[in-house]
Amino acid sequence: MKSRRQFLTASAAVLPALALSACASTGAGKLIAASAESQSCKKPGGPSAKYFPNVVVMTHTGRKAWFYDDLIKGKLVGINFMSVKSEEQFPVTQNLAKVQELVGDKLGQGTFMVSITTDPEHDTPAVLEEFAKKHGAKDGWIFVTGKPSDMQALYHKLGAHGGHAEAGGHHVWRYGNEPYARWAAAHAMAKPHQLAQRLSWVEVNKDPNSKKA
Amino acid sequence: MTNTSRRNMLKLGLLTAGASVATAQQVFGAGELVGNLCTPSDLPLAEDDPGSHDFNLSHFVDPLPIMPIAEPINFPLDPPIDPARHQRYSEFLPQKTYIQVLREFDHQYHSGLPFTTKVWGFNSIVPGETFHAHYGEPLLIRRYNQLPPDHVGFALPSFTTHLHNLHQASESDGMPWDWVDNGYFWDYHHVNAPAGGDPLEKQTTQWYHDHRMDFTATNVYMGLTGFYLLFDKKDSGNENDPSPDAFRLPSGKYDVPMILHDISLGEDGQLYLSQDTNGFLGRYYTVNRKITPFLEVEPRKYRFRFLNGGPSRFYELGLRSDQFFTVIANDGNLLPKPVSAETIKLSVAQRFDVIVDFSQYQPGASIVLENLMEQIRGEGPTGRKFPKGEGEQVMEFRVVPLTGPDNSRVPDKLRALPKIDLNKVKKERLVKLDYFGGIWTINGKGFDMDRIDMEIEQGSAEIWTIRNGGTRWEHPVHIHFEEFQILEFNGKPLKKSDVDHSRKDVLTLGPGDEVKLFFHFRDFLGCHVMHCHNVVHEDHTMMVRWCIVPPKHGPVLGAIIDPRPVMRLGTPPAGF
Ligand SMILES: [Cu+2]
Repeated sequence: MKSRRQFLTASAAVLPALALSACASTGAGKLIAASAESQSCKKPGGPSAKYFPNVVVMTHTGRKAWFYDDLIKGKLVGINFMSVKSEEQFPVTQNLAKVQELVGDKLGQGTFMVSITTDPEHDTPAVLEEFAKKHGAKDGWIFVTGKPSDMQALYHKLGAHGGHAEAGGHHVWRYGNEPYARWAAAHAMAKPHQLAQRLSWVEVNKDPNSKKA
Repeated sequence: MTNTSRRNMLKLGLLTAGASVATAQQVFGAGELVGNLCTPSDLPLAEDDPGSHDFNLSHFVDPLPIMPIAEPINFPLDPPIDPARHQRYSEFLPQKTYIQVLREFDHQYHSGLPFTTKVWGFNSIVPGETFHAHYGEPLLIRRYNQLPPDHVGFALPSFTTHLHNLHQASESDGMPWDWVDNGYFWDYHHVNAPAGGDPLEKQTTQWYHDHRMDFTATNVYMGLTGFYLLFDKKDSGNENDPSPDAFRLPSGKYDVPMILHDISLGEDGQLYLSQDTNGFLGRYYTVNRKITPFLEVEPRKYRFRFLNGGPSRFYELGLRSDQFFTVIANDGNLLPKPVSAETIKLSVAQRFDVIVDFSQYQPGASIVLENLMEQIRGEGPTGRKFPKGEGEQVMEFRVVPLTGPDNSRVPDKLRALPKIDLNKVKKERLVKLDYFGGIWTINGKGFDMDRIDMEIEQGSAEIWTIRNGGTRWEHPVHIHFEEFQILEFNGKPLKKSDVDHSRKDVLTLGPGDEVKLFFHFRDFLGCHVMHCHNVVHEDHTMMVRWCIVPPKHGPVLGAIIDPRPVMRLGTPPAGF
C-alpha cells in the first residue's frame, strides 16, 4: 500500500460499509453509537481476533474503521495509548515519532502504528489530525478516537487491566504480528531503536542465513 | 495489612518440628480473610475468560509422566565449542556434553481430550529431560533452535534457556537479551562448582526454562521447562549408599521431580493465553504437563521435588490426610534441618523438596494433593485459604504394595548455612516494586536491556532492601546467579526454625512488604537480572539488569560484556 488513500481504500473506508450490509438492523448513521450491537452482528475472525475488541473507531483523518478488522488484521502493529492533553506529562507520541523514523519505508507497507486516545471527549478526529500533523505522523500511523465506552473497552483489553488506571496506561506499547498471533508489550518510553527492533522480532523470517550471526 | 499479619500469612501451615496443628489454626483459621488482594468485583475473573474452554475432564485419569534422565553424547561437537566465549572454560573443562533440540510437537494433556495440543519442548519431550549433574563434573549443553519460524500463536520461536538459580557465568545463564533464533544454536557451560568454592553453597533442585525478552511467559507456557538436579557425596542420589557421609534420601524411582503449571485450552484444543498484564490463571492444573494425574506409590518414603512452573499462580499444597510434609530443601537448597509442615506455599519458580512417608497406608488407599490457596485473578491470591479437603485437586497418590525394603533415611542435619559476613558489605541498595502507566516497574523504571541498573564489585557483599509499593498484588522476585539469605522480613529477623531460614533465590512480597537480603557476589564477571517471576509481570518490564564488575574499577561496560554469546548458525546432528 503506497499511500494513505490506497490504505483507506483497502480497509477503513470500505469495510464499515461492508459490515453494515451484513447488519440489516443497523443504519449507517447509527454505526458509531451502536457499536456494541455492531460487534455482535459482525463476528470477528482471524488469528488474533480474541485479543482485540472489534469496536468502531474514528481515525484522525475522519474515517470510520473497525478496530480489529481494519487497523490490526493482517498487519504488523505497534499500539499505544495517548491523549493530546497528557502528552506534556507523558511524551509518548514524541517518542513514537522517533520510532516512526526508524521503521522508515515499512510504515504503511504492512507495518502500522495505532495510537488510541484515552480522552475521546476532547480528542475528536479534528483535534487528533492536528496533533498527528504536529508530530509529523506519516501514512501508516493512525490516531483513533470514538465512543467513550468503546475506547474504554480497548483500554481495558490492551492497556491497563484490573482497573489500575494510574497514568492512563500511557506507558504500555503493545506490539505484534496479527496473522501469526504474536503479541507482546514493552515500555512506550523505551529508547526508539529498542521499540523499532521489537517489530522485527515478531516478523516471520524463514531463512536463518539472512540474519546476521 | 499490618506487617505482623502479613508475616503470619507467610508462615501459614509452615510449622516447625514439634509445633502442633492447633497452633497453626490459631494463627490462620480456615477461611479467615487475611489478605486485601481482592480486586473490584466488576472486573472479569480468570475462570470467565471466553478463551478458556471447559472440556469436562475427569481427575486422576492419566499416570504422572516421569521425565527421562538426560544422556550425554559420545561424539565430538561439530563445530566445536568456542572456548573464547566462556569465562574460566579451561578451569572447568566439560566432562559430559549434551545436545537438546528445541522443537514443536504434539502432546496429549489428558487422555479424555479428543485431540493433541501443539507444544514446544526439548528433544521432543515436555517437560524436557531431567539432568543429573554432579559437583566437580562440569558439563556443556548445546541447544539448537528448530522451532517453526512461522509458528502461529502467542509464543516467539526464539529462545534463551536460563538454568534457574545455578551458579554460572552470564554467557551460560540464559540472559533475556542473548536469544537464539531458528536455525542457530548456543552452548551453555555449567561449571557445577559451589559459589566461592564453599561446600555450604552446594545446591540440589534447579530447573531450566526459557527467558526470551518480552516472551518468557509465552515460551515457558508453551513447554520450555525442565529439571536440573545436582548431587554430591552427601546428597548422592543413592538411598543404599554405603558411605557414612551419605544422606541416603529416597532415590531412583522414589525421587520424583514434579513441575506444576496451570493451563487453559481453547475450543480448538490449543493452549490459550490471555493478554492480561496482571498475570494468567489456567483452568487446569497439570503436573509434569498432564492434567491432574495420579502417581502409584509404595508404602514407604518418597522425595518429592515440587516446582511451581507458573506462569502466575500461587499454590499452598497440602495432602487430604493427616500427613505432614517433611521439608528438606527450599529453592533447591538443603535446609540446616528438616522442617515439618502441614502445607507448603509455592510462588512461581519456587521449589520445595519434601519427604512424604506413605508407610502408614495399606495398598488401595489414595491421597489427594490439593491447592488450598484461593486465587481468582493473575495478580496474586485473594488472601483466603480453602478449608482442608475443599481445596482444588492437583493430583492423587495411589498406594500399591511394597516391592522391597525402604533403606532411605531423613537425617537430622542436612546442610548448614554459609556464614553471613557483614564486614564484606560494600553497598546497600533499595529496590522498589510498583506499577505505573500500565507497566510493572522496578525503582520506577521498565526494563532496558541496554541500561545497567546496578554495578557490583566482584568479591563484595551487598544488602538489598526490596519493598513492594503495590496495594493489591504479590511479586515473587527472583535474583539470578547468587543466592541470598533473609536478614529481616518487615523489620524482624527470621526464626532459625523458619523454613525460609535458608539460602533462596525467589522471595514473595505481598502488598507493603519489605525485606532485607544479604548477597555475596563471586566467581564471574558480567551481567545478570533480577525480575518478578510472575512471568507475565516480567514480560511487562518488571526486570532490572545488574553487572558484576572488577573491583576498584570505574564503569566498565565494554570490558565486562566481553565475552558475549553470539548465536551460531547450525543444525543438529543426525539422530537429534
Ligand atoms: Cu510481579
